[in-house]
Amino acid sequence: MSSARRLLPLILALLASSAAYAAALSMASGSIDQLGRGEAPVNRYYVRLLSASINVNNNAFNNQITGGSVSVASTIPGTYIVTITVSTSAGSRTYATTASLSPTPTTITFTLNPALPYTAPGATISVRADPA
Amino acid sequence: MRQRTALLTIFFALTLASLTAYSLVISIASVDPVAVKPAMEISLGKNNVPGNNNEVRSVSLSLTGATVTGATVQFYKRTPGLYSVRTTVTLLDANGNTISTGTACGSYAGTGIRTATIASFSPAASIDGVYRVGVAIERVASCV
Repeated sequence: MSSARRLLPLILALLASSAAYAAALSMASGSIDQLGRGEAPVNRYYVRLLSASINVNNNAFNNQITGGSVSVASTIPGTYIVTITVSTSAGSRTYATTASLSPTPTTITFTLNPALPYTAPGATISVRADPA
Repeated sequence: MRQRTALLTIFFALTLASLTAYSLVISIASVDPVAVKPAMEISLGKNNVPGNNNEVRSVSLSLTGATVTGATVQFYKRTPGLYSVRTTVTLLDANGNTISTGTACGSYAGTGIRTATIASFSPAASIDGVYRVGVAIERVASCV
């Protein structure tokens, strides 16, 4: 009887701490939408490439792309690792940087080293943004 | 006495643990945004046919809200002479299907950087549904 009385506070404390953890985890998980059942959604972003421009070394037909610029935006503001890939039939070059993107377009200039032959039927500029 | 002290210590430790649990915060600010469309690409055309060695140098899309409403294309007119050039900007979805097109046609003389302005796209398309933009310039006999 005496030992049971001594254990009573311990059992109550165990129950209280278990309830506290359950309540805290319930509140936290309720605000995360990873499983699609939370109340507050996780931000979902779309990358918007609004312009692309290339610089060339000369105006001859067999010219080369030396760099350029892109104007890019994200629907969710944040810091992103932006990877720009320029491809032609002669090959591809990749340029990566970290940029702060928002719905307002940000201009990123890039340089290709070595320059990339600008061949027909043209060049593709691909921009990818991943959260930094 | 020693047993009572031990029980009190355990009791206070568990009480502290419960208070810590209540103050636990999992911040959603630390959760990275999920990518729906993490990438987009633009293709600039370059021609290599007799009488048309022109090449696109840039394109800029105009938006009204999220809807693409226009485009400005700069191309280098390498093949001299006065002739008509049709500029076409095509918006494609994730599967490569065309979802909207805009065109402009004009007569251009000489050589050098020329500008084509596309005033509208049809049908209307949201930029968030566009995964690829294709820009092509074509020499045509007439704009009519």
